Amino acid sequence: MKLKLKEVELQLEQPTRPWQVIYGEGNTWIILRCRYKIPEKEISELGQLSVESINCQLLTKKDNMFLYNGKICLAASYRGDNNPPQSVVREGIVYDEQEARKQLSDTKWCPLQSEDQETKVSGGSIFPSQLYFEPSQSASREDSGFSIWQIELPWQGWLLGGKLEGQPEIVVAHLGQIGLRTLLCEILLRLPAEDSKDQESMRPNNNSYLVSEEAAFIVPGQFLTEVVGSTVQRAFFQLKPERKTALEMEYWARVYLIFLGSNTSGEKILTAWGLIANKIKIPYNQHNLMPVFIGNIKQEKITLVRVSEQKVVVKAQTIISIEEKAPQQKAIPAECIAPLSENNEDRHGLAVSSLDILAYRPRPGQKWQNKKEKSGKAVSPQRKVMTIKFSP
Amino acid sequence: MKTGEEAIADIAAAFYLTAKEIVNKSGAWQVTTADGDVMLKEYQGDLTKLQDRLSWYYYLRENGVWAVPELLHTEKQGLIKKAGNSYYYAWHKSQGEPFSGHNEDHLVAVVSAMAKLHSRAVNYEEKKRATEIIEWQWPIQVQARLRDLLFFAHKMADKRLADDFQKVFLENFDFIYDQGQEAVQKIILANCKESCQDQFIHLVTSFLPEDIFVKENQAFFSPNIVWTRGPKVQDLAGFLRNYVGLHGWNLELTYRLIQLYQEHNPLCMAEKFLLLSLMRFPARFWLYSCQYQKQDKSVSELTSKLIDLIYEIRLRDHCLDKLDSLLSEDE
Repeated sequence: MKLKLKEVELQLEQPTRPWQVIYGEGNTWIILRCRYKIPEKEISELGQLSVESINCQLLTKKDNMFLYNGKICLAASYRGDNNPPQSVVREGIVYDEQEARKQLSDTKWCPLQSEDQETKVSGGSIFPSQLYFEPSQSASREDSGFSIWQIELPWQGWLLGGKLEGQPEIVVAHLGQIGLRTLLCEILLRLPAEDSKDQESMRPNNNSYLVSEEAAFIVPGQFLTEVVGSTVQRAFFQLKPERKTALEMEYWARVYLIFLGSNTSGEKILTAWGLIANKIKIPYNQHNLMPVFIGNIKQEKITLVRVSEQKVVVKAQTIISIEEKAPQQKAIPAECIAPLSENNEDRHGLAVSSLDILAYRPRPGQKWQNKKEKSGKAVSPQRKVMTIKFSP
Repeated sequence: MKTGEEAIADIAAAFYLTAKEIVNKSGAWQVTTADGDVMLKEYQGDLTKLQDRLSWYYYLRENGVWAVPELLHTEKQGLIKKAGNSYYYAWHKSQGEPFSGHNEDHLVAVVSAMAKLHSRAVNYEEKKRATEIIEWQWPIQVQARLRDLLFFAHKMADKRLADDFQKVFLENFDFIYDQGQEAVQKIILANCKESCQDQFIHLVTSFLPEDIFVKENQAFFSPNIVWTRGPKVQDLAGFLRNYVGLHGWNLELTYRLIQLYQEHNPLCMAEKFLLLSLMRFPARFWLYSCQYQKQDKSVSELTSKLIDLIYEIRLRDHCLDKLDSLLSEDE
């Protein structure tokens, strides 16, 4: 019997400039975008896009999170049109002009104020656009007539789950024309994390389980040409026993899909996301009376299969480890701790242990009470006395 | 039940016409008779203003303005034939060369005829002052339409570029919006409320090629009874916007046509400002945006029109900047 695949409709994310960061377990995706408007010249031809340099450095580390930043320098070449058309007016404009004047004088409601209709899926574009899956490493200065657009794209992002493995990887670059004289450059950068966890503990064994998930994602109003990547963020886990033979794990997963759109839009590297409430069974055979906890979760394998222009099937294998003891509490960050008084005692004379320390919080109105007490005792040194003498 | 042609044949008979053939030509009926072709057209304007329009038409013919043909009389000695809820008028089709916007001589002939017609209209208005009080909405409309465009641009910028139209629109919006702002600035300088309202005349309004004939360097207009009223420069600006673009917004030609007009109707500084404003306002940019929003036409067709318009507005901007200086120097 063939089971029906769970279908999830994703929500297209608005592409933002100059950057868009998607964090996931073991992978961070950064989309860098920039536009350049060529002054006083139309673009007649697009040239090459090449990477001049790429660098990255570790800024800071916190638990298993690493903050990196860096810069990518690229060179995009284009040919400007020195002879834009002088007269392109056609005879038919008379009718449009007449219509415009007629409509302008009409005081009726203007359609521009109305709400947008359904997303239009238009045909091909008249503007060229190029995708590079392996942009050349050196800037190839083309023949005369080509101009170079020097692009510098700084980036920064956290990497979850481990240190950066090697260098940031340019997965795809896009150079396109979005108007008569505007260029758009998009770079999709992947920061893979190296596996720093204990390999042994993450292998399926008595306490670790390989869980397979499968779902079909639909991106409405978009045509997918290629699915580049995917990330999953899981949260709100809940474990329940199920007939003493298994555990039922409920959680929410935020799935991101990074793909290349085929429509005529300016931006080609797009993202869509969806929130899924998941429920899976873990064959947990150790009949323990005590509740158990979730230890580590490791994304083992993700397979993306493009089924149609709007549909992708994602098959994910995840290793989940179950622990019988609660995972260790994280230490309270230093900035959250208020300075201790000298005798470590509170107002009631009770000793304050380091475990009980919470962020210092003044009592309501305490600030104003203190002020009032002070103002009653002494005259403010900033007070000025002015004497005016009237002479006869 | 009579067919359309049969009904028109009956109406033509009321004008003492025996129809041999009836053909519909861009909103009017061409009736072929033994004496030649006669055009028959339905009046589509405001009925309350019909009498005023006819009176103006009569005045033109009485004062020897032959740029508009004589209207045919009905069997009841009227100029209009009522058929059901419709009103028809008829005239002999003008004999001459069809108007071509590419022909500079034709442009000169039309501006000359328009100027003569307007000078008559000024006299007519003086004789029949305050026959119709109208509120000229142009300054308010211009600002409202600019606001609409700005709203539309912001709405578009917040979303992803969906097609080529949006790309070209957003790329050039600032430049076009500045054109609109400059048009508003000129209206303010023209001080329309004070300077223009008392000089409203009956306008030719329609300058479609099929409504104009040229014979021996004289232009003839179709008797468009829907003569709207407004400032005289509205006609001049409308005509120049329609056809000077075909000549790449040639400054010399534009200035020559305005000077030719001024030989019959000198323009005061306020009218010159108004002329520049009317010529500059990006009305077609607004129209195409509306058509795009309503999905009236295909995106590719509108994008192509928009690109052409951007090129044209650049040329027009260049021409109008220089024209502004030339007209100011004349003062």
